[in-house]
Amino acid sequence: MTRTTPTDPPVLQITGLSHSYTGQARRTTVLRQIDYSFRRGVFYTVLGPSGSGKTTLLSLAAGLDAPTQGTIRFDGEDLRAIGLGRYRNRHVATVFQQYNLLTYMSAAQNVTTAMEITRVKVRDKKARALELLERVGLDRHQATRNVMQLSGGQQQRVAIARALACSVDILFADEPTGNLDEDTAQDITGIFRELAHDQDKCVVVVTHSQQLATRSDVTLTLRKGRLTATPQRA
Amino acid sequence: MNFLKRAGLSLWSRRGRTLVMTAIFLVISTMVLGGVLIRDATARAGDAARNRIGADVTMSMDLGKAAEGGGMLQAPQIATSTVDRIGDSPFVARFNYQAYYATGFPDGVTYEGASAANAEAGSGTPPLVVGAMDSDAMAGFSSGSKKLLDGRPITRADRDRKVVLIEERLARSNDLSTGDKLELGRIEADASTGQEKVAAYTEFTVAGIYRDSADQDPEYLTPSGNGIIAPIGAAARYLDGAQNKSATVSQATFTLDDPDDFAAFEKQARDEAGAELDGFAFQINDKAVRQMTGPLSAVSSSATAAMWLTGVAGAGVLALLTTLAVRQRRREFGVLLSMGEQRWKLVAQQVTEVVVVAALAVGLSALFAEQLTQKAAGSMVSSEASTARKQIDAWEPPPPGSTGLNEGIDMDDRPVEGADPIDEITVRLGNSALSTVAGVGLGIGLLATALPAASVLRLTPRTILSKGK
Repeated sequence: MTRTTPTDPPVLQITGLSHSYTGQARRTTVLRQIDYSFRRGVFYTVLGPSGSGKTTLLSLAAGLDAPTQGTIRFDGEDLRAIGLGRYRNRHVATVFQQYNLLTYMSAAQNVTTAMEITRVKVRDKKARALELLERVGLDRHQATRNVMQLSGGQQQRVAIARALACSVDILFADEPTGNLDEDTAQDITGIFRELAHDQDKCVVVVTHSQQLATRSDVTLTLRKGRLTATPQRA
Repeated sequence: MNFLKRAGLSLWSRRGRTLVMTAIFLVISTMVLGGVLIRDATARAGDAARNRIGADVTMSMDLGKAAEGGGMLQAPQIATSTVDRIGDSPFVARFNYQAYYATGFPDGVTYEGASAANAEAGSGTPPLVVGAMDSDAMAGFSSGSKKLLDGRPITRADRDRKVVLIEERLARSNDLSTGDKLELGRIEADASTGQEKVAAYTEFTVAGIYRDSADQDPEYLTPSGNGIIAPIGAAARYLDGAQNKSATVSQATFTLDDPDDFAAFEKQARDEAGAELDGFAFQINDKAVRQMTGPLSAVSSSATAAMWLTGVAGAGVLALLTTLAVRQRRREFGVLLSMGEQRWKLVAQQVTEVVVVAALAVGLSALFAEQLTQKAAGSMVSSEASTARKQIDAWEPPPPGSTGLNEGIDMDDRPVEGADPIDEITVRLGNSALSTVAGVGLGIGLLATALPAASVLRLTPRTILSKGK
């Protein structure tokens, strides 16, 4: 698989991004004038203390919300022009810290539903869902059980399988290993690396885990609303 | 159509909630359907009664207008030929009019109240002839207080024929039978003395003999045993003060097929008669229909009130439940939106779930609503009819010779004979009733879904997912 080089055009380009929340009495600025370019084939981690704006950055980059100021471009096109809904549907997938699974479905149904919504062209969606779930460590029996009957770790795996099922360019994950045991966390990290390096995806993971950060290609640190990048490898 | 699949999965996996919603919908749809069916059945029965009985419209002097003019009240007259034209309207099932003519008998004819002294003085109660268009249509014959014993009735075709129907007592005391001749005199006032006397006699043939069970003529209070009925044309020509006069009347009664046509009928009548109707007013008397349909109106009102009450209360409960359900599902909406699902499909999923539940409930209620409603409505109508029947039976007429004013009896409250309150209805479940209920159910469901769903869906996925975190 061809790895992206720094000279390749960015898949996601953030320019002058600021974001604030208006509370009851005052306005809080979470992100200040952030400029950054994400590339395909790279596994990024975003570190930072609680309240530093990591999740906000991820939400804006994933098209879950619109920034107060600045632009985000996907393959050179402004997200506002693409449309946030279309951007989410065609180009990105998000793994949430709270899993956010559809609780009235089985693990496999969660995955096939995502495929249907994102219009993934697969002949046998169920087989593909089972394959993905097996890849994240869930057997057939677990795959056909209602997600509420699975453990937290298993639910997180389902959430990751669901994201993998959407044939997208960028995968965002918010604290994906926060609720997992060490071994499972290692497995999941391996999957993220594989996605970036073998499938040329751009993977952006928000985490508190230094261990996870050391396995990423680039570590971004958010502090007081400003972003700094530290490459882990040459 | 991914949202349909999701709707199906959601309904199935939340079977408990689906069951509760279906049960609530079932109660609402059964109650609403019951109300609609009762309303339909009572309306049908009422229409049938109206069509069978019709409503009487009386055309008579406009007392209000006459009083405005001041002076003596004198009833206006209208030519019977004009009344005939009005009566030929398609709104009219049948019509009738009559006029009274004083007459005199030749010597030798005996009748009630006659005495030598009266005859000489020209005073006392002169015999009256009722000039009629159609004897069968007269109130006495239709109510049964008068009954034809022999011969034939007087019809519209007899208009100018010199034939009469006479009361059996008059026939008996003068040994008259059908086919016999009877001379009737035209009364005229003497120019010099002003006294009334017979100017000329005309021979009439007895066409029939009838029995009148009433004591007196209801209008002139003359003894009913002296009753004579003649075709109005012949009576006017041979018995009225001015000889060879064409018949006129001051009052006519029209029976309409449908009381609702009253306004249209009056307009048509006024267009037809023009100035001839000046001084006349039309008054509808649908007492018979009201007497018959009184129980239906009461039941229909109760059913409609119950229907609205259940509908509104049910809509409230459902709206509350659906709102809670939608709020509980906001995270689901957020997840689906984060995958780029279109907002309308999320609403469509909610709507589909409500529609499925509503369809199930309406379908189930349709299975037994007809029998259930028939039982309930039958009992309600029967009970209302029984109450109405008791009221009718309790009414007593004032003593003979009294107007009832002293006894506190309003003659307008007198029950109409042969108009028994309807005591049963037939409930029929038709497509229109089902459509109404399905429409109401769908409306409630959509409203209860759309509003809370819209309130959640206007938010961004991040806001939805981060709420309450």
